[in-house]
Amino acid sequence: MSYRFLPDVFPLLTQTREKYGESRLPKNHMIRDWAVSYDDLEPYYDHAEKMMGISGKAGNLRGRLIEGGNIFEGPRQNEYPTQPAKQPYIATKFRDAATSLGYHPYPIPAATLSVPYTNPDCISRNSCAYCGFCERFGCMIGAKAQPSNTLLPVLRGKKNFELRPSCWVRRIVVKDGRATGVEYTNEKGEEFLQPADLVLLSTFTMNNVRLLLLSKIGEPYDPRNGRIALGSNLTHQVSHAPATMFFEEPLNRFMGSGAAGFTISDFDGDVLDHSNLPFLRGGILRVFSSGMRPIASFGVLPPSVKPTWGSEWKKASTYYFDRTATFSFSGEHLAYRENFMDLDPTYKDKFGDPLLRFTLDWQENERKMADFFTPKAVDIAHAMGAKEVVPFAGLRRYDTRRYQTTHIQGGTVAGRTPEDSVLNSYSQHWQVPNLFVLGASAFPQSPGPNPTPTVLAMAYRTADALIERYLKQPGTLV
Amino acid sequence: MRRRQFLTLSAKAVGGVLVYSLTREPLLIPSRAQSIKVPLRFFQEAEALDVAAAAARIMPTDETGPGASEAGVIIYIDRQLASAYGRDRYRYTQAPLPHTQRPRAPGSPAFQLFSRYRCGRQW
Repeated sequence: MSYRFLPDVFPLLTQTREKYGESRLPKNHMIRDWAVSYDDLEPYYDHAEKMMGISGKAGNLRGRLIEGGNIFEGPRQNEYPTQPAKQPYIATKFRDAATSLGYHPYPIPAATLSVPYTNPDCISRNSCAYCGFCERFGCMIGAKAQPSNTLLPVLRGKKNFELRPSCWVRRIVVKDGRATGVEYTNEKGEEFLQPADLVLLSTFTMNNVRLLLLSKIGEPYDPRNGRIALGSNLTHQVSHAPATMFFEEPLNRFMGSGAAGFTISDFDGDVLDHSNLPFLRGGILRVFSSGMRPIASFGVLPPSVKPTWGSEWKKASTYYFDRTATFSFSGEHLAYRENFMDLDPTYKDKFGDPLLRFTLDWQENERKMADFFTPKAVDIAHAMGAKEVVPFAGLRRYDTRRYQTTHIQGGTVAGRTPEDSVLNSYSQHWQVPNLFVLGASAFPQSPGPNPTPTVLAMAYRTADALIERYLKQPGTLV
Repeated sequence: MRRRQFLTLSAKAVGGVLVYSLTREPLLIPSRAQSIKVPLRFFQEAEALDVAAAAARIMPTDETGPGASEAGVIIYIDRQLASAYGRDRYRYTQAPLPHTQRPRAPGSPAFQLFSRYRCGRQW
């Protein structure tokens, strides 16, 4: 699911203050404006979409709104590189119901190709076969953009490129304010020091933060003072199923792909006026079919079925297996003083290095936002003709045992001043200018939609600055 | 070191299916064999028969098709309980667990089973 963020995501703090006043911000918030704007990122969003061949339909082409696309999105210079994917039956039911209620459904932008496509690097890939084994799996025909089929084939031909698999980087070595290399251990347990002029740390949010903490680069966050520092601003996209629906007819949900469906952004960002709502910001609702798995998807039953085991339960589970569908919600998670990452005092990895620890819970803004979306989803479910609908029980406490996306963000916030961020707008470390930290760890808070295109856009922007400016004259880019 | 336990299954119940042996080699059970012996890694044979019977009540063999017995569920449960997953080794539930979390039982369902069978208590 390859969404761009809405333009209002970036000046979040300034805009919220101006529109609703300081008093509407939670007292313990650590919300910040981003160091970049939508306009800064637009050319790089465009490039990322072309590299992956994102399928979708534009809703705003250079200011012209287009029905059928996301009319709330920021202006795009180009249409999506490939047309929208084929839509599963359940998604078309959602589209029709949402339209009848006055919403603006649009096809989920997908990194799975709808048609064969050749990207600007001359990498050709096949189109999706809707096999139903997508989002948790490697794509067997290469329709889904992943580094192994877009990036590595290009790098493989480079004489100055070497991939060292099965290696664990355990420290970044810094001397006199410069990174001089990395220490790593290979699969045999041998330790190496790899010298480097330039270090790009791009090891996912959590390991970015952990490696910097282990390497003692930058000041660790202290929740007692609440100043932005390494490990602060931990956010985890609010994600759950606002409603589960049970239908009388089969839905053929064994077919699909990771992003085959529709979204509505009518409640995303600040699209809705929040003056009289008990929460700030919002999120997106969607219905899609990524493929029902024989074990993972089995046994979801409507409340009218009473037995929880035995023949009657088995019969009902078989009957409802393909008559069940869920809504999916992705919402903004604001940054708070109490939510952060640090090194665990107890648990260590196999090398004896401390693991990363989360301190995280939902707050009233997230709970009230979830409560707002549940009845909206239930209404749409009834308009879709669902026989029975089970609403979401409420967000309550943060619980790691419930899977809720891999979209964990923050820890190395990118900002405009070294006093109030860890990285500058190019994801360059304020204290160590030859260290760049790429990924969603640079996000000051979590927007509603999924983060990957923004992670890529920021990385392409950094790459441009590296080639155009840094390599010619190494130093601070801002 | 306790004596190795085997679960004796009638070949009819697993006829024509693949069973993964201790060495993870797939083993085709010939349907003409009278019975087969599957080595157990966690359960005693009597325990395995109990749990297998319970699984067969949850997912019975009936007119809608095969159930837990034919699927060899007991072998799966046995292997899971014998593995790191069964001991919750990857969940960082090192003692002491906060007393207040008692009612919210930490750990996986497999860990619950493990502690009930081997420690005589439930977390």
